[in-house]
Amino acid sequence: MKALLLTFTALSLCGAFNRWLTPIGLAAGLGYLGVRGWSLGRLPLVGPHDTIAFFAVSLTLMGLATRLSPSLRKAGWFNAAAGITAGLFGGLSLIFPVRDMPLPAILDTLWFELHVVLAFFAYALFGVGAIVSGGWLANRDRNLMDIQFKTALAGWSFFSASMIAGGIWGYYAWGTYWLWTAKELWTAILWLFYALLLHLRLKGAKWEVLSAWVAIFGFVVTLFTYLGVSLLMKSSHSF
Amino acid sequence: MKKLWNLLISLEIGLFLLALVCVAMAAGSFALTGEVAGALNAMPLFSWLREFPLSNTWWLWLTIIFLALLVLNTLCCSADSVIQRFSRAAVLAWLPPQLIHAGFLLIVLAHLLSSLWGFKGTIEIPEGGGFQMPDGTAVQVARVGAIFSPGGGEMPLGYKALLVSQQTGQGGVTITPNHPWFSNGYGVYIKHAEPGQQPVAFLEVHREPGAALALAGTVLFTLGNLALLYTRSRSRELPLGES
Repeated sequence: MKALLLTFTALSLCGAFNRWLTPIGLAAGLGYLGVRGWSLGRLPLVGPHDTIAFFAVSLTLMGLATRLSPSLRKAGWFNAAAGITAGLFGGLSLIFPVRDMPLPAILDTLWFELHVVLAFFAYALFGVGAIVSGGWLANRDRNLMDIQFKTALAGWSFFSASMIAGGIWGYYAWGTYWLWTAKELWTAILWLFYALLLHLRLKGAKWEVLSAWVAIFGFVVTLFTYLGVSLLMKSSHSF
Repeated sequence: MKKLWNLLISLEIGLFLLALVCVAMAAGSFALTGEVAGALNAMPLFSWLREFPLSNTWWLWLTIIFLALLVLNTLCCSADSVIQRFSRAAVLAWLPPQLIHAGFLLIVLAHLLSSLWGFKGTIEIPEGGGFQMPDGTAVQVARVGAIFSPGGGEMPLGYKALLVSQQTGQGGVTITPNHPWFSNGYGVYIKHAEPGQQPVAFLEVHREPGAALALAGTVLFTLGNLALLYTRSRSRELPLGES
């Protein structure tokens, strides 16, 4: 089964040089998540291995969806950056042990699954937005800022929906839709940060350089919210 | 007066306040440790702010102040936008962002209500014992047990308790993780249980007066968000070479 994840990782990295390999890599990644989910009897969304693998596959999926945009269809640099990023996270997931533990009752709800899946789609879109912003800083193609805005808006929408699902889950699981822990604080920071990025667009072309850098820094905030807080700080979301 | 209004609807100030809330919360995430952190989730927010010294709570006071200013900025910006664009533009052009703003404001208001009038209590009670809810309802914990995986395993996946009260009738109601029992706005949640000859249940009783308002806020927010996605997805990129 792990061979599928290895294949996904290798094809994502190789996809940096041949864009036709990326969809095959995505199929391998989805295959891995499907087989793993089948063996667990649920979506594989618990622990560092499963979540990082899910994030890596989400990155490829969102990268491919963004590549449908006319400005990116033939942009080799975008394919390379998205492929390498997804491949690196695929490789990172392999470092962590695969845990086949039964799901604690507190996580056994559709709201938890929605909360996590939507969050990873959002993280992936934030990553794609950072790559597009880097491309804009390099070649100043006006269309790239539109794509950056759309990825940020779509990502923020997924993230908002994830927070809503998390709030409903929290209300039924812990009696409150909000807990004051490091993870929740960083979740709110990430949401406000991308609200800031979306409002920056209203300032017009003069603020685009700042907007691009904010989108790149946003992915750093995203990674800290997801991995940094879960690995380094104590919260209900710790690995 | 005009100057003050321009200040209140300033986008730059809105951006600055968003950044300040982020910084204050980030500082809080590192400052929030130990018993002080535990206590923050064990009582309503304003009780915690009253109970602990400023050396522990400074970051949350800053967050609240910046958030209050951001709320004022959002209210003024939305009012200005509606007044300016109401008659001139198509509804889909101006309404979605205002729905998102309204949702955000309702969610903040919901937090304020829960912070002021919320209730959080813990109960450690043996099987067969009884307790009284804050609204006076008498509840008996008739049975306490563990939930195991259908595939076996020694470690329980969670715990359950059978509660009996006047509202539940003789048959009672079983609470499990994610399935609390609600009575007059209070929810009873099972956190843990200790097995033994007389098992003990660790319950929590919560009241979130802002929950309904928060849900209303999320509905408005989602409607605005979907409409915004729809309108923005229709905007097209420039053909190649025209950038």
